[in-house]
Amino acid sequence: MKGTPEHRRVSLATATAGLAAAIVYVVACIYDRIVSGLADPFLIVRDVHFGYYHRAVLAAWLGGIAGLIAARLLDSPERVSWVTRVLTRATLPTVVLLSVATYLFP
Amino acid sequence: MTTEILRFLASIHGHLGALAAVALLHPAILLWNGRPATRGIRLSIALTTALVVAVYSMGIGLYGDYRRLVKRALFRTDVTAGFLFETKEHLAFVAVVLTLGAVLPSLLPGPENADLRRLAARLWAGAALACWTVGALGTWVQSARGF
Repeated sequence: MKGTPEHRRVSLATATAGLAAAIVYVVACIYDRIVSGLADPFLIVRDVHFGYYHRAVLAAWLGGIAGLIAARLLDSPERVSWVTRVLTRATLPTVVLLSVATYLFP
Repeated sequence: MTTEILRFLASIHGHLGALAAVALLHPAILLWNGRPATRGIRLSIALTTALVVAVYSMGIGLYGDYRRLVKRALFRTDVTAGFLFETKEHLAFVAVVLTLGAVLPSLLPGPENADLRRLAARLWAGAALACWTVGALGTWVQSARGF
């Protein structure tokens, strides 16, 4: 049966996981660039692309944990409604910020 | 893989990516006001998700040959375009995780849970925004050095 409180929690946890994974990935990019600096274009051919997979797996992992935490904490209809409202307002501005960040820290 | 085959596959990847960017707008628009997911919307969600994941997987699959055959020449031609390609990769990941994050909030909530479908619509729209940016950057890179 659809629309049960459990379905609401799972739905919101999935949304949280997706958004958290996107944020973690971009934060990991920024961290990489701050720590190692911008790659030398003439050496970049030797880049084995490991960093990309590492960031992607890290983001998926931490996004999943964020989703699990959300599912655990969202134990009342009021909390679910509040978090849904916050995420609804925050999603698009967050994506714009992430886009700018990936431009500034390629 | 030869450069010609890579060029052919990259062209398919680009065309499918443009299709994915358009497809992502469909659930975003249909669910924007929290409308319940009809059978048509469910079909749209399934096809869009499959397309986005397929295009992303194809891009990941092509990256090794891009690095071997194109990347060095691209950076020699235009360093900015080379780094924009990296930005494109990052945004592609953002588009995929937002897409996957939007699926269950679109499908699971019952008719009375319009707020979750509105959230799902924003996730679809965010994925579309990222995907359109990826397409624009891909076109820029392609114009800097066609391959």
